[in-house]
Amino acid sequence: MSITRNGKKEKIGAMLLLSMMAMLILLPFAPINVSAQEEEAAAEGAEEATGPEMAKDVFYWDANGDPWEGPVSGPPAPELVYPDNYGTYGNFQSRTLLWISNQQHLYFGSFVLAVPMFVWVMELVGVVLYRKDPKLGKKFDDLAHEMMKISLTAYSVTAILGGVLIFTFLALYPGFFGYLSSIFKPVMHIYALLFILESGVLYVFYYGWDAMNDGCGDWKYGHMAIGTMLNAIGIVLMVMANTWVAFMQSPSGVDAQGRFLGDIWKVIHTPLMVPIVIHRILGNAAFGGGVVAAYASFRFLSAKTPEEKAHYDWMSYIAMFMGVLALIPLPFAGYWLMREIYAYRQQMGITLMGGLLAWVFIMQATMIATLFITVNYYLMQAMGRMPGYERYAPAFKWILAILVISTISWLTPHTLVMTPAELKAMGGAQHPVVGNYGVMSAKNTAINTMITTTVLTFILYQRSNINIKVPWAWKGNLFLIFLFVGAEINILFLGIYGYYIPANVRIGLSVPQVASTLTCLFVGVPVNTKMLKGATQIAPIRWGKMSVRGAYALFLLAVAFTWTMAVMGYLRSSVRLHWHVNEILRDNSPWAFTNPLGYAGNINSLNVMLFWTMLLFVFWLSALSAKKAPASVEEGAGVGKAVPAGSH
Amino acid sequence: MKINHRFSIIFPIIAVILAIPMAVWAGGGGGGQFYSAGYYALVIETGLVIGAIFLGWLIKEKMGIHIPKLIQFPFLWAMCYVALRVILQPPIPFSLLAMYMGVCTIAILLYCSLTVDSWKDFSHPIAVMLREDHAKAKLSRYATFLIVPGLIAAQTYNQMLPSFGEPIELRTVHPAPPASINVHKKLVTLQTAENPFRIGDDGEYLKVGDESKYFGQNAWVDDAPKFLQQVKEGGIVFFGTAGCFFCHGDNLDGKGPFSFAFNPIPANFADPGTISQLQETFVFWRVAKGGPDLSREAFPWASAMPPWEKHLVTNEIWKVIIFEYWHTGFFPRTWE
Amino acid sequence: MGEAEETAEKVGIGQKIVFGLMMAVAAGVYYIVFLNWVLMVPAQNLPYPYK
Repeated sequence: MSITRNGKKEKIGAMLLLSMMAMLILLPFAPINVSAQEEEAAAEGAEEATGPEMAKDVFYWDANGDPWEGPVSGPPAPELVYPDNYGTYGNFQSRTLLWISNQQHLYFGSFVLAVPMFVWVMELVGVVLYRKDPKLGKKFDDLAHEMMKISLTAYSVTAILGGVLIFTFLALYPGFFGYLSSIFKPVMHIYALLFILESGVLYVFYYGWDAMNDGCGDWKYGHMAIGTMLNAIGIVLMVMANTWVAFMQSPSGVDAQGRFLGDIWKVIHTPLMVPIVIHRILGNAAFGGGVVAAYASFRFLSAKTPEEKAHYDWMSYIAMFMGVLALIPLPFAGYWLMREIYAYRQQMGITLMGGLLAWVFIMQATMIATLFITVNYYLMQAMGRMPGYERYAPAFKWILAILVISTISWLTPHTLVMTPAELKAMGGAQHPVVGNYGVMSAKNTAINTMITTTVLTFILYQRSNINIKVPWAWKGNLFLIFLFVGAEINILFLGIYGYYIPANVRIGLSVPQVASTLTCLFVGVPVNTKMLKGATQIAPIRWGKMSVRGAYALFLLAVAFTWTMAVMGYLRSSVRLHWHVNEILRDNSPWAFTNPLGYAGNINSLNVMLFWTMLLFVFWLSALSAKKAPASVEEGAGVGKAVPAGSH
Repeated sequence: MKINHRFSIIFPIIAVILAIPMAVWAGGGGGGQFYSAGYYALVIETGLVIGAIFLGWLIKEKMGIHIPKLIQFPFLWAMCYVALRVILQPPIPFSLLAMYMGVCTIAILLYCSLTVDSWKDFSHPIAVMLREDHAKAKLSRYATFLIVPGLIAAQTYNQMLPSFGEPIELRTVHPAPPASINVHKKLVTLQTAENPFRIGDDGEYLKVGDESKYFGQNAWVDDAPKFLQQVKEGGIVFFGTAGCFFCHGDNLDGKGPFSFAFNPIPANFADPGTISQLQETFVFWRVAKGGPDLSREAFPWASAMPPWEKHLVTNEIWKVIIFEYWHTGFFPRTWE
Repeated sequence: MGEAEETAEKVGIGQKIVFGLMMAVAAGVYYIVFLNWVLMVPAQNLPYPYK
């Protein structure tokens, strides 16, 4: 690799730029120390005068098991009164307006934060590949660049929606917003500053792409470092936004009256904060992958030339793959979150899983099942472009059958909807056969089976156009068979065993169940990949030859992601029932009731449609600028300062 | 298509292997009702499915008859419907049937479009029916355009007919309990309270799960262990003092002599979905406070359960709970 | 299947059965002993991270 133009000066310049950016990242954290010191000083001053009033934390304990005590540092939670502390817009329900603006902001926000994660990975893949095969490396690099472009348009929409959200808060829920901002005062400026930083880094990252693109040279690594920063800032931003939500659901760091006790970390680190954050990061990534895949499918369906079709077929596959990678650990993260919710407030858990909101979980279960079936269906459709897949095609229907049986078990609700006559005919609230599928043991078994099956489909996909050449192929095949059959038998056995033991032991069963599934994923796929070493292709993949049903499946996948997010966000939010901040700040507005399911479903669907309408606009904008792109790329390749002539 | 044989044989075998534990699972359920109606239904159903797979295999591979996907579709659909509607007993409610059939319909459609070939197989006759101009196509076109709107009309007519059934209601069967309740002037915190009669031979608190050694033993002998003595006293409450069996049944299956007068019918403790899903303290709350104290979310508060604190002392309530779990062989839920 | 079949042809059925049995035992040991025992038993005493 001879990069002649990359002189010492540029290197020093890049290093300087990088260190400056790094310092910028640290900047927002500087004021917090100052303000903390000020507060300490103020607190000390107060101590000398009257002695600080100490109050007991609602959640944290000290070493002796007594509630932790902190100095009272804020006003108590206000007693909100309806017409005074709440605003209205005509005859609209204020809560619904806030709900919609929140959801839209969240959609675009999570999309904008998720795409840089993919872009980072894609860019890395591009750089690594560039060393061996510059053409392939460039392909991935262009893909990352294109993904970033979609995100950039969406970024401004996010900012606008954020503004709308703030105004909605201030106009409709001033009392609530005032209280929460008084609690989070010590960190609010960090959020604002980080947002500005994020914008700066994002623009440098995007507009510097071509200028800093020298294949796999120093400039490229510098560019990737900027990408790392972008992601770091993005994740911190998201965590900070999540702390509000986590605090509302499970407050800590305040006393029973809602007075801030001086330790902002205890406010941020609430009992449910860590699982919520993990769950949201994973959810973001899956969602981002789904949306990018939908974009690629959109372009695939509207493509006019075979080259374009091939490119977007490939892009949709990559994006789908990344999304599914994030999707697979998601149920486990969700399980952990649920477990923490039960540990935090049993009532909350029961309201969610077995009580008032149990039906929302059925909606979610429908969506999860849709996701897994869609992914499998897409992979099967995608195999249509791999000559040789006919060998595996007869297995498809059995895979589908296993998925459907799992789905039926997975969807069976614990509480059935029925007329009193049906109840009598059935002889009880629970059915003697299908009632068995309504409990946790069956659900865990079903979802683990579905994930294992998805892994199996993926393995078939990997080898569908390949003749395996390694001499130990028969051993590998036998190994894989026993790996999967063993895992499935173990999952089923543990699921059945779960009916015969108490619930506390049953919870422990999910660990080996999940471990069986993950074994298939983390042992099965590498072994299969190893078997493909040195194999010959029956024929190369015919990108662009996928059936249109595959592209529609990806659309469905993305919409299912969006709908799931809406439903689960609604669920997580409404489990607080009549509290703004659980057990601290009561919701005294007329909208403190729990929505009927139909209404919630309609608003969620409205949110999904609104989001996709705006997103289609974003896609259209990206496609509009892409029309000129081929010319500009070639131009850029010629004049761009970092692409050396004759490096190919 | 010769290479297909391997899969055609292996997967039915796997299906059979998977079906056996599933049948056991559905029948057992920990409830001790191994020979319930559901068990036979599931065995028959599993047998039918395997039989159908075998039949399909025979027709396709041995007799060499190719059945187009378009004909397979209604056949498979009808099979699912019969299995879920007729064979599965007792009948499942319509909402569940609709959900299951929805899943089945989508699954069969996916099955028909899995590969390019199968999609052609499925869609080609439809395309012929819509496009071609020969007599056969025309005939089926006219038939289709008569039958499909006719079916929709019939469905609409059925929907518009006035029905006299009670409306469906979403009832929360196990609403979230309050944090604490006041029984006989004593505060019971539901998350932490323990059953005082859950004691082992050594007089110490018996961990949930450890009582399984007493299952199936005779509680009515004179030298019964301490735990079983509590069970016996609980049984006396169940059948004597309180008379729970009038509604909840001799076998605790919710089929007592009075049960048919109630709507909804009394809870069936032998079902794995009731007391085995609940903490002992939850059951304590329900027994002590009954229907009148259901929380707000338990709309429409449809429960005829009397508040037994007005008739029993606290200890009797705890004992009858011990008895219910012992009799059904379930364990209460715990969180730790 | 073509060439893949050819390579598979060289392996005798006995060899396959022996290896299959080995794999079955390995799967049994892994799933039953390792996952179900070694992982499940401590899992029941998992403390909640916040208590």
